[in-house]
Amino acid sequence: MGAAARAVARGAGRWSAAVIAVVLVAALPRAAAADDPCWVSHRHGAYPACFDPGNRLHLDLTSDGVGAGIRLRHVVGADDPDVSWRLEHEIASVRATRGAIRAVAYAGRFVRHSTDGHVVLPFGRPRKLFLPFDIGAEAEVGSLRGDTSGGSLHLGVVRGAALIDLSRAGNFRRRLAIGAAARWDIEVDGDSRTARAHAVAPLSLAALDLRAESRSGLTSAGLRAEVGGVWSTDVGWRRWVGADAEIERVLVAVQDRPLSVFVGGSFEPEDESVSGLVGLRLAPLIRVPGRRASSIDD
Amino acid sequence: MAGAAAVFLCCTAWPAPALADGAAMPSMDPSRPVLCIDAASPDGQRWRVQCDENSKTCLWSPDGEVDRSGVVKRDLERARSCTPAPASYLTERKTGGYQLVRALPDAPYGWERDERGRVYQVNFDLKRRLYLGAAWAPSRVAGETEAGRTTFDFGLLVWEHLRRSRSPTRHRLRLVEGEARLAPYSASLVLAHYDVSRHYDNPLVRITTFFGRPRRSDLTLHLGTWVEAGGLELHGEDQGNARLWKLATGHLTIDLWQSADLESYARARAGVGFEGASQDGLGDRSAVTPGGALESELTLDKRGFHHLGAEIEHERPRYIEGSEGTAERTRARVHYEVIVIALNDQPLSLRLSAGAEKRDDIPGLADRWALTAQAGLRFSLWAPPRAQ
Repeated sequence: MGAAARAVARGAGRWSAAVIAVVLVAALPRAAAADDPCWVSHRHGAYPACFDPGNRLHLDLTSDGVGAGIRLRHVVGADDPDVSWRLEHEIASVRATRGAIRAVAYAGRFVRHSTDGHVVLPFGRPRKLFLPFDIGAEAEVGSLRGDTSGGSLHLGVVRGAALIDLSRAGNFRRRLAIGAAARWDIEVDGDSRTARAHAVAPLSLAALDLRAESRSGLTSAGLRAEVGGVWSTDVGWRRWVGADAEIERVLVAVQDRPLSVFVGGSFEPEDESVSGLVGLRLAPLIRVPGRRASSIDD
Repeated sequence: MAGAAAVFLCCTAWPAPALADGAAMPSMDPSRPVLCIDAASPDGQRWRVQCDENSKTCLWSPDGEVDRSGVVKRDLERARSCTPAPASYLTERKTGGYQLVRALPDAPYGWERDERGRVYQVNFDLKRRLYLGAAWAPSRVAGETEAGRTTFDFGLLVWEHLRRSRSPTRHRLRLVEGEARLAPYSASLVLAHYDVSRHYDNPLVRITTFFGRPRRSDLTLHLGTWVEAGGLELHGEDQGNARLWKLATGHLTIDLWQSADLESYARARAGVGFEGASQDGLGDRSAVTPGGALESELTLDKRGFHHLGAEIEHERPRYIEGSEGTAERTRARVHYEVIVIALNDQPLSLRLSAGAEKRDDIPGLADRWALTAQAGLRFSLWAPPRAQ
């Protein structure tokens, strides 16, 4: 069974296998490795000191509500060892507060990391010019933001962004990406359930995406922002400014399941209001990097 | 001692490495073996060498990426491993009358190298990609021109796979593909599309005639299927927003022409779909929609840079709830896409299209031909080299 689980984990480059891998890797015992800094020896058995916040199922209890979501991330190799694809997925992310809800069915980020960034001009004999960044894209399908008491709902049909990652990190721990974003949103009247207005941004938004994460995965911080113009069926072109930021720190782990505290804030683009929250986050399923060390008593 | 003498002979009698014009240099054949010779040049460079007995020529290049002065700075990317050979190998070839020619290092299929040995992709499969684009999309309806209209289009996943066999089969999958247009507003989205083309090695029917000498005639039908689920169209009209949900559509296809790899085709398809429509103030309607289309997709070059497509489609919704009678939808479109640049081997393409549409299924839309055009750019992610 353990061999089967490891075999599946090796195939985690495929999206479907990644889901299975996260569950199995989190649930099954590991081989011994005494020198792994992510595992601390103990007379009752080794325990983890590192976690992978990008591969987890999390449940949130916030200052004004609850939340949950699934995050997956994995690296897909290429024929060239200097090139790899870093894929991140957020599935069924939900946050419900008193009278409001935010949800995203799927959000993905796909970055092609290369040690040799370049642009090819395919005119005549192709020519290659050096570029100091990685190339990537973001996709978000089916987001919902709104008032559960009968007010308006903002339905995000699709959002896409073409990004360049200036950090050129070979891992998931650092990101400094900028780019152009397009989005298609529908503002739905909560009472009649009909569309009140449609909003389209045809790559008319500038996007910023920052992330930093400690090597142990115990601390992480991120900031995402969009600034630009959106065309709406009710008012035509209008300004669009939106931002989300969050800092998270794991404080304790219960049965090797980390419990973290996080502080977040957002600038809502629809009404240009600021909101913030503090919460606790439990990850009942999470990938633990490295391998379990032998206990002292073994 | 003999080795040192061989190196001396090689390096004094044959040219030293220097950065040359890549356009004038031949490339090593990636399908033939490559030898590596240590200290093959006067400055001790390791060379990749590929000799051809027929032309009495040895192609050589530094075994690494070089800077502008010709000094090796890093290993070659996407390079095959080479077989070590002694320096005397070159001396023996020189004695045998071989000519030594500076060349570009071998690159895998779909890739090339410049004069410094740096690799880059020159062959793209736009049938395997994620894309995001924006375009200028003027339209003309009932004598009124909307010259300032723009659009953005997207595809979360475009994936095609060819299963090679005596009867090859190509599967085409597209997820979350659509576009949103503004000023005036309309949008369309298809959550899932799948179609399959097959080239049947055996004829569907063979007919033997016995008038005089028996003769056989084969009737070959390359049948396939075409299905879409989760289609949505939105139109902002003066009479209220209109929504058209194409819940599921299934067509049978007949390929009238296929390329060998089934990537290019011309086909006819016909079938039926189930849809629901609603409009502010007018209520909901449901319809069963028979429809058919003639369509073609052509990849015009081996490197996958040029793509041409055309489509004529007609649908006739028959309302079964909320309304009576039938409606008509007819549209025709031709589009062309060409890759103009690649950023980190991810292509940016220019897309041009022109089309016409006439429909009477949505009250408020003019029941006259609407002419549309698009000119814009698409950024594609993934797009690996096309299959050989």
